[in-house]
Amino acid sequence: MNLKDTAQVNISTTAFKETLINFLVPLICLVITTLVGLLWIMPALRNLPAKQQELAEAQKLDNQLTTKKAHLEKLLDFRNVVAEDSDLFDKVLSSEAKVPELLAQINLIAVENGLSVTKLNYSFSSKVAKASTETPSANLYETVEVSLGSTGTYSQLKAFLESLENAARLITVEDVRYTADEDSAALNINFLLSSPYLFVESSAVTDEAVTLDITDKSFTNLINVLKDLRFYEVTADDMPEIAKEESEPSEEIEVVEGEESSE
Amino acid sequence: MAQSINLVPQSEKREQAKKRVIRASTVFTIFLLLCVLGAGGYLYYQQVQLETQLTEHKSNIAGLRADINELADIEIVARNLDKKYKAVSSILTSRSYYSKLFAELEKRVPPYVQILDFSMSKTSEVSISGSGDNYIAISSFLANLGRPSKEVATEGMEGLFTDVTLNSVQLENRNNNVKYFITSKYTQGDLRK
Repeated sequence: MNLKDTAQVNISTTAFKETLINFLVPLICLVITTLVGLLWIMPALRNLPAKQQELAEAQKLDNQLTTKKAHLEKLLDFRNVVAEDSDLFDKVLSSEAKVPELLAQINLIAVENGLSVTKLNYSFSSKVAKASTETPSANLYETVEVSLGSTGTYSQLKAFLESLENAARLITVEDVRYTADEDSAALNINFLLSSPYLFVESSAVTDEAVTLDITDKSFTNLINVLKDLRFYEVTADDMPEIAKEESEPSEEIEVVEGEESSE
Repeated sequence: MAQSINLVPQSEKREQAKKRVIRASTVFTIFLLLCVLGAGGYLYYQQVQLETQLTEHKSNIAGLRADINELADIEIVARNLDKKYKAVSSILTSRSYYSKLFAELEKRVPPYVQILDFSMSKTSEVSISGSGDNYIAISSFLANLGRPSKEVATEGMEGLFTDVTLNSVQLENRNNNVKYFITSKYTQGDLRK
């Protein structure tokens, strides 16, 4: 019986070895296929989208920086024009409140148009411009509000408003009220005016695009509009004597600095 | 009747079948291996291409950043100018030109009507009070404000005053003048450039 069992074991071992030898090549091929698939192809397929995304972003940044560099070089070529435009905007939209100069300008415009100024007060407020979608916070500017009391005729009132609308630094009319006597053409007119100012202090951000285009049509149109405004070169010394009305408490004109406070 | 007699023994048939299986499996696995190696080679080529392009772009970016940093001064000026440009642009776009309103109002006031009190509110409303020689003059003033004729209104400003309401009117016995109080809304859009 032992001899028979041994013979049987020997036969199955031999058959197994024979099968292994016959299917050696397919087995090796399968093993290599599996190893290549698991260790190379699957990781590569997993990493491919991320690599493509990285390449797309690098391409985009490359294009953006190329455009920005060309843009800045163009601005550098036109630096005199850029400096001129900057000066123009600084005059139209002051970087500081410059209250005495503002009040002197308003007084000058009023007097030029025949109004007699009886009251001139100011205060501070903050306003937000109708922001663009890009950087709303960049359009936040401060305003000086000026309360002007005067007397004059209706024609003088109209002329004063027109002069204000054509004046640089920018002055916006917020409110107008007047009363008149039946027997005379003189009006007691009260204006509430506001003048914006914006202090800008940008820094160079390498990867961020510069959107300003000084050759853009809307920019050049605005420049032409601003150049047509009338510029008043006034100083605090030009401020004439005016009769101050003792009305509700508010900040009055002082040439001395450091008296400004926000509402 | 002729009959085919298969003289091949069973063992030989089994041997032939086995050989066919071995051959087929060998061919199939080699083919599979070649496909996988081909795919692997293609992926390797893709990766090399991506890496090369990425390296090129990164090198460009580094160079451009260095160049842009040298232009920092003009960039700061441009950014400051851009901020002011946007602010001025929005101020001028939203600004109301009240000189137009007063010019138009002057045209609408008929003779024998006087405005003694004028005020505006923040809700685009004006309040006008004054006196006129008679009720016809006041009525004419109301019509000029709300439904002006071509002779009275400036072209394009016909709709400036809306919702014109005569809030009160009374006869003054002292001088036979008619006192009135009118409120009206005005169209902000007509006062913008």
